[in-house]
Amino acid sequence: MSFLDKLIKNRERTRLEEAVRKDPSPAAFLGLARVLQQEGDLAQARQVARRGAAAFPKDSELAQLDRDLTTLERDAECRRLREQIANFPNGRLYARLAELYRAGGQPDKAVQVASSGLGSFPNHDGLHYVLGLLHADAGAKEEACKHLSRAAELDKFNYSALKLLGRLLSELGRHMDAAETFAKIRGFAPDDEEVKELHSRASRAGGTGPRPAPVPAAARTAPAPGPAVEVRTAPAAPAPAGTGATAADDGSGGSGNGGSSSLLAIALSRIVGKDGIEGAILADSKGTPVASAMPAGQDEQSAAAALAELRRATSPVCGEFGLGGFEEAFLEAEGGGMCVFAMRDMTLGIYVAPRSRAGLIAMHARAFARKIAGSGPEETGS
Amino acid sequence: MKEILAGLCRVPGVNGAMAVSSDGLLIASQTGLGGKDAEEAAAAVAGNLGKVVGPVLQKLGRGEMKHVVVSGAGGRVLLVGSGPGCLVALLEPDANLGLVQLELGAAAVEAGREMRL
Repeated sequence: MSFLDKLIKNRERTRLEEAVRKDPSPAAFLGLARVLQQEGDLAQARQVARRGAAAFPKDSELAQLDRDLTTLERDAECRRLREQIANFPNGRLYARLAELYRAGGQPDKAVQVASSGLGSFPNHDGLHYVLGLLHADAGAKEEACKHLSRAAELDKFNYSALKLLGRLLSELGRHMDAAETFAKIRGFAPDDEEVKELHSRASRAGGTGPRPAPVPAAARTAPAPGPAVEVRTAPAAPAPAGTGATAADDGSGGSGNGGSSSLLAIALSRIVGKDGIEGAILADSKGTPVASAMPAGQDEQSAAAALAELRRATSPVCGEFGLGGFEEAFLEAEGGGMCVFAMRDMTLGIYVAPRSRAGLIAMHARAFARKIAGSGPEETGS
Repeated sequence: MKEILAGLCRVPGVNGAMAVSSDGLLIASQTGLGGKDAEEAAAAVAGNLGKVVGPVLQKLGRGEMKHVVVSGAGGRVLLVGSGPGCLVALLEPDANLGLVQLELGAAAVEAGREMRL
């Protein structure tokens, strides 16, 4: 492209950007998206088309362009992943590629990729999960259960795998197994109303009342590994006399909160020490601590209150700037940082050392969130 | 100030930018958020964020605030202190955060000078 062509194109893009900003119309969005597409900036082009389609939902041309660009971007991402797999294969790349093929309506290719990934990485929970999903899509429930069970074996906090497994087991009439699976989820997500309902339904169908959530061995075999952090759990509300550890030790189940709280603290302490994470705390919306693995010298109560304050200040930013629901905030300061993650009603705060890598912190936090609430897709793999 | 913001908007992945005073008033903007009211409301919450985050970070023993990144489902906002106010950049979800931070840091120094004048 000659210099003059480039100049003309730049001017055209600037004009369209101005038009989108000052006097948005379907034509302006279409024009800008197409210019960006011609420049090879597919991500930006799709973004513009998506914004346009959202602003003018009745414009079929914009909707079509949004779909076309999404497909093109997905194809480009697939190409990129295939190249990465060819050079530096790992389970997560295979799982991501299989997910993309599944989302693109190519289940056969997705199964092929996931199976080939499992050939090289037989113990990757993400690959078993994707394959389970694909078999479930195809109606092969037994096969799906096999892979989902394996995914849950490899990662016992895999909410999505456990939930789908429970549903499939119910559909197969294996109600007792389904109830046991839902009980496992309730072990770490006791407030999940949907799972609570599924659990009681499966238990009723199986001819018994809901069994108490199991207490995994990890909760009984504390102390948790990790650096010098203080692992604390909030006392279980219905049983004020007992701490989380006590509830876990007696094994009676009760409301399950004590054991879960203890389990949460252990799960939190496991991310501490990784990639500059100095401590972590989970607080509810009222600023009360739920569980924590605090850095030395930090007060849990005031940290939880500060965390709720941060969440209150950051959430409206997403609303006013049109970013959708609040997901996370990374606050960097001279002496370290603080990451704030939305986990449904709760907020996860992570203390990070100065110059920590935000991407890695987010990865650990999302893995934790996924384990606890099933809020993230295939982020961390194993 | 307009020029500083325009320069910032040319950084790949930046959708818009605004300068906000310490009390949350809009100084200048280039965001296309959909009118002055929307921009003023956004400036108010950004100003509040800048005001809340500093003391809270101090309380948590993290020291002086450098910057804040807030992420939602549809994009991110990056906020840095700039003189008496703050500078905010609206980012695409897949923007190169490191690059934008560099550019925003430089722009914040310049904008801070303008705000003090």
